[in-house]
Amino acid sequence: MNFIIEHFVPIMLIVVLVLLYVLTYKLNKMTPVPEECKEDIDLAACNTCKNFACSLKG
Amino acid sequence: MSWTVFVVAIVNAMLINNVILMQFLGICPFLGVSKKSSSAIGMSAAVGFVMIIASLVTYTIYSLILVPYGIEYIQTIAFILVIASLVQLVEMILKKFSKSLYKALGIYLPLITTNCAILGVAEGNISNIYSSDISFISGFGVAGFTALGTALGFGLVIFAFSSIREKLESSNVPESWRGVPISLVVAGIMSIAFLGLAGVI
Repeated sequence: MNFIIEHFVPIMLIVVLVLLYVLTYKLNKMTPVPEECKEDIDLAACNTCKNFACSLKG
Repeated sequence: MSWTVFVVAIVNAMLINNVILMQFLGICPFLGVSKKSSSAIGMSAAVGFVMIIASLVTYTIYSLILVPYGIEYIQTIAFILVIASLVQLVEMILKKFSKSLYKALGIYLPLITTNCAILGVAEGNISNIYSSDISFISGFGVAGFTALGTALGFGLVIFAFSSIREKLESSNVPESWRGVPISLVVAGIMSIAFLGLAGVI
């Protein structure tokens, strides 16, 4: 029993958290960006740091 | 637990152990998103929002899952995944239910996933607050107020720094000192000023 707790629970927890991240990422990507915010997103889109205030856009 | 504990937690995290100037965490947004006051306010609001939720969630996971199973050694990787998931979740909820808030914070949210200040506060809550002697509720409360104080301290410093940088734009600064060099000097002076608050509490 101790062996299972020591080795199985941490692996399962990390797998669950990774799956949770993948799920939230997919759901976030599927959620449409509001029309009035699209311009801001385009402004922030950049090849480097994606920093809105950055003046070194690539 | 007395309410003074929560006040001390806020003041300590905000001024005495300021996350940027004393712990040197979150330097990337401090230097990168402090050119304009408006963007500094947006960034600090987004950081504060995620920092408080992340601190509460990570403290809960540590107390109720990691400690009972004796698997505290995976706390860092678990916290990173929790913070990354939380940022995605917060962004999705803002897109769906609060368009005005998304317009204000949305573009800063992806940056927060890799913000070490968030992970630093979550880890700090465990190393400084968590103890088997205090109840879960008390620890949870102190962790939340510490995160609130840290977020306020982050906002205070980044806003003050952005205001100084805006002022410097129109000042007569020698050519070789313009931009980043003078900003780093200002950051150093601000850090020394905050040193004066050490020992207040």
